Amino acid sequence: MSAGTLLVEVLSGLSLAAILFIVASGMTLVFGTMRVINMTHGSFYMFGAYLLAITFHRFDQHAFGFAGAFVVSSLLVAALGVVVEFVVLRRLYQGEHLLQLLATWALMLVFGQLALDVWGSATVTPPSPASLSGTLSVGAASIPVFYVFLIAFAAFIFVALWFFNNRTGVGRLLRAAVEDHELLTTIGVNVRRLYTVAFAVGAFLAALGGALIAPEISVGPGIDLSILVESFVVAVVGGLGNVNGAVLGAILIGLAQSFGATYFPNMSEAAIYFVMVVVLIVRPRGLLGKEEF
Amino acid sequence: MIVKEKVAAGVLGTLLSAGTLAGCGATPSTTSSSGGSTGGTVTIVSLRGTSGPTASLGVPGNNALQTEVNALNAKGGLLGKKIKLVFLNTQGSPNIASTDARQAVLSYHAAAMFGGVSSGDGVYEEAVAKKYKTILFSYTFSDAVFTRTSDFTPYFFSVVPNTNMEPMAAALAFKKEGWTRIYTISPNYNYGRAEVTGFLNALTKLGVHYTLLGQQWPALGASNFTSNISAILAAHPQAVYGGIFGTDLVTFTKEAEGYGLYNKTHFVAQYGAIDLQALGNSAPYGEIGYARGGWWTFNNPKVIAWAKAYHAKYGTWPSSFTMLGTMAFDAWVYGVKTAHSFDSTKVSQAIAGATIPTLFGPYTIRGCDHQAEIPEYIGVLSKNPGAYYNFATYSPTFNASWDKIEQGCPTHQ
Repeated sequence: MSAGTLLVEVLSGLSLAAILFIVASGMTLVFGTMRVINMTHGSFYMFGAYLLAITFHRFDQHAFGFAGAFVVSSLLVAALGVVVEFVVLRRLYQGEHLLQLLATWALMLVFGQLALDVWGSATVTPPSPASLSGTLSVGAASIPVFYVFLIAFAAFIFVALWFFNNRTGVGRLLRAAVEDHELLTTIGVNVRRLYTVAFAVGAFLAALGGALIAPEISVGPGIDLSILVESFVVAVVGGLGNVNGAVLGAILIGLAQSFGATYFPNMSEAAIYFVMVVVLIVRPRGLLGKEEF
Repeated sequence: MIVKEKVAAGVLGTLLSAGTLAGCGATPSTTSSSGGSTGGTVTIVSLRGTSGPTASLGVPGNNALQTEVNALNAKGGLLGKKIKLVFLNTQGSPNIASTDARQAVLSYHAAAMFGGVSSGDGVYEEAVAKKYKTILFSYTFSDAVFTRTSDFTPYFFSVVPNTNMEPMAAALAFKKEGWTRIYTISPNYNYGRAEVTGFLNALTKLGVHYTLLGQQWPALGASNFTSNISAILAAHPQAVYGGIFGTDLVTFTKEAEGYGLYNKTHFVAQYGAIDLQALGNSAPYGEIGYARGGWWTFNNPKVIAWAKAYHAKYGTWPSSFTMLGTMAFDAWVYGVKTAHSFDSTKVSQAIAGATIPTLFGPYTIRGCDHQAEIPEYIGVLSKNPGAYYNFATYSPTFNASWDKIEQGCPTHQ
């Protein structure tokens, strides 16, 4: 394999990892804080993509317009997340975890049907932002500029999440909830409100992932389930509840997909599950997961 | 068990079970379906995925059937009975397709079933048709095994080019263009595998001495194809045969454009009306598309009026499967009228070997395996500014008529 081809493989894997990280970080944040496996996470991703398709037309077709569109889309979905947490999940915290799982699974089906009714069965293909289209050539190799942007943006999100978790009051409380959510209650923290914030941030990140990738995919029914499975694998590999683990998990899964397609094309579909199984055998709590859950 | 492991185990189980295929047994029936004839109505059932990854293929087929049923009922129905059309959503899941097919027969007493989107669904639907002796038309799923193996049932009719015919059309294009260093990408399930096998066999049959540089088998409904694209580029093929379709193909196309794939190799794939509409100006002009029902290549005023009426009603242009669904429905109506009965056995006998009149011209359903003698539509994707529709057309086209892509009758008879 030439250096150029290797570079394309690596960048391709990292661009996959970028979206997987953004989406999985929301899932792992929600689980870490609330102990809820949110099956509507894929729906939030799907809504983010659909809303981007709608809102992008209202902005200019360049990078700033795209930024405006994906921020607006993600905020709208975050608001939906607040509604879901307030109306559905809040009533289930005292119940079995399986009940929460089933409730969010049911909501995912409802949202899937809703999307079909609203946007129809035909796929939507938002345009790529003009200033982010084109190809970046490195020697004989070339990679879309948009994917380089995705990698850079995911790095920005990672830094932003670190800042949020370590330098803001809410972030510290969320970290504390990951460590010991029962203790928070005893010291007078409004845990319910904290849960609402965590769920909204999780929904925001899922929608952000969907909105960011929307110009590169066909947005249509079914995109919720495929990303749900992949982001769950990333979260498990990284360690459920750990955002840093989501980074490692996403990179591992992204590269496994990229190199798996080249070297093991007959089994590439199973590559990410193979990685997950190996990681779980070696380290059952995931790469950076903690024992105490 | 610690909480995290409990939850993770539950989620894993749920996710995995969602993709698990299941076949269930049922009480066998020995009588042929005579149709859910209740009073003045008779029921037919459409088994389509109208949600999930196959919805973009499923819904246009349902629209075709609904349009035809409405028109027929407006004229008084069939043999004096109104037709009741029931839609069952298979959700792109074979186990749901299995349940739906049995429900169609046992609960709705369907006089005929119009089958699903994927060959994964078709496996179960054909089994139900065989067991309960109820006529089943496929106008979308196309794996050649349905008509060419010992599983063949006289109650099944394929009104769609199968996985030998369709790739033969693509192989004809490869031969004409002289492409021999090739790569394939196709979804990783029985249709995708069969399509590629059919393509390679077709090349061999045409005497093309090809070198297969590699193959990609992404999951149906994969969220992205960048890893597959970079693997294809690394192999430097002369041309790529794509068995991917629908939303997968649209996503692949957009991603491949970014990687400059179309500047580095040729690509031949199932670009039908729906995909070309979705892609708009992002269509890979100059590459080769093929489709099972190329209604937009007709200059027939009646076909144009049909397409425009569909567009006016549904806000989108028909798909290949709208055209083929219409043709399948026409075959059933023809069979019922000829047999003077809704009985599946009699209707089946009436259709086998018959030439069916349709809006798109007459076609024959071969008696030996119930395969419709229809062409594949294939050509170079080109802009067509003067057209009444707003997507890329095929120009120039390749000749993939029935006589070019047909296979001899199978030996199961």
